[in-house]
Amino acid sequence: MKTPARIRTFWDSVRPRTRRGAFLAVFAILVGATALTAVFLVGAVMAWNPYLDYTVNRDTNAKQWAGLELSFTSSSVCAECHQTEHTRLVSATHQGIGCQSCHGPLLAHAEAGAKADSSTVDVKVPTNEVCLRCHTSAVGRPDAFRQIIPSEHYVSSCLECHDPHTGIANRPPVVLHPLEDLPPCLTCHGPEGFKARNQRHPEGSKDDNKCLECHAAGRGPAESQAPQAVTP
Amino acid sequence: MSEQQAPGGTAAEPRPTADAPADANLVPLAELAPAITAVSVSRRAFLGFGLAVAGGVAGAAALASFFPVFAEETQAASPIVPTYDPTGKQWAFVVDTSSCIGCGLCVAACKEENNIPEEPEYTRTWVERHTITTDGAMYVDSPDGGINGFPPESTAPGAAGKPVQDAYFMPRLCMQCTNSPCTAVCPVGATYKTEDGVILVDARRCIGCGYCVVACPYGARYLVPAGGRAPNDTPGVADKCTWCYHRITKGQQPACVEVCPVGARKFGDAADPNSEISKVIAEQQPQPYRPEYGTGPRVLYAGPVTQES
Repeated sequence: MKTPARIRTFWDSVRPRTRRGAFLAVFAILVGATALTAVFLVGAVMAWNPYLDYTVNRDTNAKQWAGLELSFTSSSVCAECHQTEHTRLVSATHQGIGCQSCHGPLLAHAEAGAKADSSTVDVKVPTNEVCLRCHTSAVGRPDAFRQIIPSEHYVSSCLECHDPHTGIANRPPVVLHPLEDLPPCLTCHGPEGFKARNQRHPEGSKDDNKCLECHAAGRGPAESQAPQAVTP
Repeated sequence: MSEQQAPGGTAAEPRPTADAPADANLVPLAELAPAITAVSVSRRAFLGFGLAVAGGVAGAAALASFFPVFAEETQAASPIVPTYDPTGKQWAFVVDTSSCIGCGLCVAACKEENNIPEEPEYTRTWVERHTITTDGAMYVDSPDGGINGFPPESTAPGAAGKPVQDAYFMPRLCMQCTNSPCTAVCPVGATYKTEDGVILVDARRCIGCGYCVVACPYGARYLVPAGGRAPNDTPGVADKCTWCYHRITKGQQPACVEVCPVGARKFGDAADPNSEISKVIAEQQPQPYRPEYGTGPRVLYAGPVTQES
């Protein structure tokens, strides 16, 4: 293409410096426009990617949700190693309760398998709080469900007397209680006590020393197959 | 006013008049030749421009391949989990309000399993206590969503000291409605229903507007606060119960069902007539809660809550 003579004349009349500047300006504008277009295109692609992605593969997000990590395992896994507890539990009143209800999430423990110990996995030891969540007397709990009023219950540590694995109802608890700072025996073991733990002595003595002549603290049925108490 | 100055006319091109008939406006073909040449040049320019655009798009695609924007798309379509087929699944969730003891282990387990924010007001599931007093009034309380269990008496305002006629616990969770208002109102289509009927939230698309939180008549949704724990590690988006989608797709029970000590929560595939859930549905005849909302809730309730009107 031939440049018209008038333009050539005009261009030649311009200072060489200005001519270079003009070229630079045009070049800069072109580069800038190209860069802006590229930024716009990439930005548009990035902004719309989730939508494109969703159109192409609808399950992407569902896969993401399905791929999250588990903390809880299935309780049937526990019986593979803890056979003793399992067989005791299925005969107990706590039958049907999964291990993780009290012991917390155990998938990490189960995956560690034989190598599991307290240093590698954190297995929660149930505290009173776990027991009282269910067994505190509250409005709304079904009547048939065993409930206590904690302030009226004797000891403050549930597991000292109750074994949740064997089942609470199957074995009367043995209380190895210290005798200091306790009210008279009849407070608990008398007819007004929280449990009818004293069935042999309908007329119990009000003198604790009389009781202690025969009974040691915490002497329960396991140790008293032969009757050791004497009827007053 | 003459015709030459009529509105719409110009001095250079007078509108045709009766003196100059329309035929006179026809231009001889020869005079059009330069115009045709101009058109052909334009076409070439147009093709060149199109080529440039195509090149630009290809370049952008090549550029995009260096960024992870198309990463997921490159994966071939595959089942959600290799061992899981969502087709034909009829997940069902039955809650028995007559056996729930309000221990709150389900709420605690859900937080643990799904990385829910620690604050009790953010929760996917919660337990309510419905207390009906002898004067016929119903009080509902749910201290901290029941995550720490329940105090002996209702904490609802005005309920203290009133003689109780009936009371029961009611675990709450997302109903996974068949006619879900949350998916209907979402302006960006971020919340959707999977093939097996579970409603999920795509955190990448959710803009956190909260429309779905308001739309849900069961109050099952919340917005994940920034800072702290977040389900799917994404704060600022709407979140809700997924029926532990990561567990049920692997053949496990949801965490709340797993830890419930009294079996008040049951979950399973109702499409299988031999499954436990099918037997539970057949025996207990559970009902949807507040079906009058018209959302087709898929969580069914048995026990005293079905007597509420």
